[in-house]
Amino acid sequence: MSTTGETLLEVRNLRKQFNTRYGALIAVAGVTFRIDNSEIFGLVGESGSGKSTVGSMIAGMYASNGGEILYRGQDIDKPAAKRSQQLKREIQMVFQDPGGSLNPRQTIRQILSFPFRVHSQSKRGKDLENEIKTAIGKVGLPLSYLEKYPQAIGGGEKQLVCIARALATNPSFIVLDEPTSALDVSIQAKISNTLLELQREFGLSYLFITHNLCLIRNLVHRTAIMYLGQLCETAPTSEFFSDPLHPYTQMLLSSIPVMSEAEEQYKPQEVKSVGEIPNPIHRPAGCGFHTRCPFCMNICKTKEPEMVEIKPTHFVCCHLHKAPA
Amino acid sequence: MTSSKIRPARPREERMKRQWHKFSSNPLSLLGLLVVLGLAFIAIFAGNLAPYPDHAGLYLDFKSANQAPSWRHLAGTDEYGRDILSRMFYGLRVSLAIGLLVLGLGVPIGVLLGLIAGYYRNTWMDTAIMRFTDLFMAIPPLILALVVAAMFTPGYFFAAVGIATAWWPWYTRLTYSLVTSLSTELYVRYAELGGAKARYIILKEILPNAISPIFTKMSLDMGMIIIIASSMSFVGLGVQPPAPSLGSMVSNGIKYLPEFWWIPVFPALLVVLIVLGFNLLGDGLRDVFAIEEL
Amino acid sequence: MSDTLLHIDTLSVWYKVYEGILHVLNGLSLHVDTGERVGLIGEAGCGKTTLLKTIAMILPAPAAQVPAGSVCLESVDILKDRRRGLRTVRDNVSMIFQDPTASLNPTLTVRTFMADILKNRPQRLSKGDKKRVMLQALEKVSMPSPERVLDSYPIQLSGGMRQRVCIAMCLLKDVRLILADEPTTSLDVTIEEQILELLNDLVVKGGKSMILVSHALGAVRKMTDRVCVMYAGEIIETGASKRVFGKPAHPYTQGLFDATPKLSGEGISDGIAGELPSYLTPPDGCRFAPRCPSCLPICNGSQPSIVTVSGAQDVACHLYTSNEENGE
Repeated sequence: MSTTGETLLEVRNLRKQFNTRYGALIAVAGVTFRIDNSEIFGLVGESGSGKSTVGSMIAGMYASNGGEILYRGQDIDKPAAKRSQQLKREIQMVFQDPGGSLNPRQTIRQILSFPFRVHSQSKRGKDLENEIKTAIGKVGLPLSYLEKYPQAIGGGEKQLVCIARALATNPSFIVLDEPTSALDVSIQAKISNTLLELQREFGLSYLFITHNLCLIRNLVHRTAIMYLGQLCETAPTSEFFSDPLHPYTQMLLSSIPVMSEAEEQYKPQEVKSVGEIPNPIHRPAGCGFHTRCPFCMNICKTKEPEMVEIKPTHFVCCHLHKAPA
Repeated sequence: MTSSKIRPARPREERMKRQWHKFSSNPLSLLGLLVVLGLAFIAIFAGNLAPYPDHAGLYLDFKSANQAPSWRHLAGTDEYGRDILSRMFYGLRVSLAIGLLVLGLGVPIGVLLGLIAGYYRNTWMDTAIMRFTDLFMAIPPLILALVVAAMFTPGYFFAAVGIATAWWPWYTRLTYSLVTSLSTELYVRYAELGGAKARYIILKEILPNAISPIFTKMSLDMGMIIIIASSMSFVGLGVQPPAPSLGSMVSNGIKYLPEFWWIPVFPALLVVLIVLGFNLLGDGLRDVFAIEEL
Repeated sequence: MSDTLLHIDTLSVWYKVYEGILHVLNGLSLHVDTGERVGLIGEAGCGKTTLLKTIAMILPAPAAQVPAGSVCLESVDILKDRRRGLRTVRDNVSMIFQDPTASLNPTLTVRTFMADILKNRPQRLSKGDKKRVMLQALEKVSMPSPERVLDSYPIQLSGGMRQRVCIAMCLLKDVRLILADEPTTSLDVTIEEQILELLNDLVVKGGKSMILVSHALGAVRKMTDRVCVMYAGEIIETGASKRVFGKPAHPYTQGLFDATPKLSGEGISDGIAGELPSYLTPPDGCRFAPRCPSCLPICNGSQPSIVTVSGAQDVACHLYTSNEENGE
């Protein structure tokens, strides 16, 4: 579980706004974080938090409305169409819905040949065949699967095909947007383990987006949590769970239903979950969480808090926690 | 719910077998298919099957005119003494040919425009193509077909061209809506992220998934096209006499009702049969291509 | 003290599909007492939705067949006498589905759905009474501004509120059994907690029974008295919730719990090797045998019968049958 310490991806004050007919929807409201080489970075949040939007912007679905995304020091804040082929090879994405990610009219072989055909035009015939076989072998699926259509294989296996497709270009960075949320627990375990093995073998970095805190606890090196488009807290995973500072983190952690008495001990002090996530189009002024926060102070209603580093590599964005003197 | 996860090594054949099974489990669809195949057979081999092939051209025999249906003339004879059954067969050939021509001309154009407009939606191409399409749709189809056909020498080919001019917009609309919804599918997004060119995405990712509703529509349209072609013959702008056309046979025969009822009635029944056959076939296709549950 | 509300005896349900017959439920037995909360856990494809649909009598008509077994609700076998069965089910059972958005007709207001349900009550209610009943139901589910919600369309409500509306609809009639099919899967974690607590409250206060199907194992542990574990159409383990979660007996249950990522951070297990057996040609013996790490030779040949372990857990596994025979 070690990283090389070099920064691979850096996101600074990223903003994204969607214009709907009801008003401006601020999906991402100034997010800053860093991911190192060979690091698994977890991004947690509920619906409306903006985590998927952050992942989409990094992968190149669309450009931001402000801020920077730096990959190996270069600004990559543009949609995929404007990115270089090299960049498209290096940053890949795996989606939540394995069924929707695979074209139902193509066989697995055709699906896997796509990345090779786009990126290495010289690959034809036997070379292409070998590459496809290697790709499917990396995720542990048998060769006979190449002839099948996606409908003939199970959800977990479809997701493995998506991962194989993402790996085909030898990427350095993969954005995984809820890759196991649609799968059963036992299959989720298999996919998670495959992802871990691949990460170790190829030294990949992951941006792992999910709402499942227990999965994060066991999979991810560093964790960040978002609420209504803002980053609330970022910390190394074990510290995130053992010493949560932001009230939202505490609320979320105390509402996880756990399976055994032993786990109950790991939950922080009970912070009752109240209220619902406000409509992102009508964001509350000041700190986005103040409408539900049990520790809300007057300043929270008017002024947005700033991100401070309370302990080394443990950042919080909350008026309760000021920078150490 | 998953059923067996093991498929034998030929997935395309398996899929077609399964679709056939679904199609053939509905007797009406089978009936539609049989009717269409039967009609196609008659149309192709009209020359061999018609008892009096030369009656389809210029032929006058007033002695045998207006005879009721008999064993010699199964559908009777018309006012010129021509065998109605043989003329029906040749008329059928012309009707089906017109249908195929209209679809062969109108569908590729309509679908291509729909693909481009749908994929580049919300750009100037979308607006240009769709407003152009709207323009054509604003004109009543029969009138548009008549106007276009009237610009050329009368005959069934230009009748078909006329109808095609009125027909392609519907395919553009259909394809446009299919493409706009398919463009949001994750696998299309993935291909875009991966750097695939637009041409690849449109042809390889989107079109194969859009093709089924288009085929269904084509089958259901055949009936309508043939009726419009018949209407055009009614008005005199389709097939020219003495070549037989189901529409003109009906229009000319109406004045002989009710004594020589067979002159318009049999050709009219044939039109009904053609439309029914294609509609049943089209319904069956639509059911087969619907999303399978369980 | 508590009598049996629902009794299912050796139920088998099959589906007819293109490839043949899917033998989904296989001689399944289950009972629910009055006021008891029973959890049903298992993975996708194990047949739990089929089971719930059989109880609610909403199985897909031509495809589903029930070749054997009985389902007795309030001493009425709903499979044998369909008309009486439908009446009994509609008076006594309510179901909450997984996706609240799909369960509510987007073109109708909440008031219209509720009025529809109230139409079928035995006593006629005046308009004013109806409104009163509806508002009461909405208040019971802690709905903010119930008057406004009554006149809203589902699309104007959030996911959590929609699910509350569905639960309120269950309360309009005094039902005795609530079937909840993954009621919180499509909701956020913080809302999930609120909804589950609400459901629990209503069930306990109202003296109702509940069958809760969920793959959120922690939620099932908190909210149920007894839990049944399903695999491939059979109930393989059942017992008091705290016991089963504390010490699972069946190898599948153990594998399932191991595979669930834990807050204590022990890492993720390897999952359970293999996949669900084919329902077209189910194995002769124990359906879990092909994947079981503790498989014995007898497991492939014969179906295990249910034995009681440690006095309170019932398991269908040969590992325990042999123990019982040895007098343990």
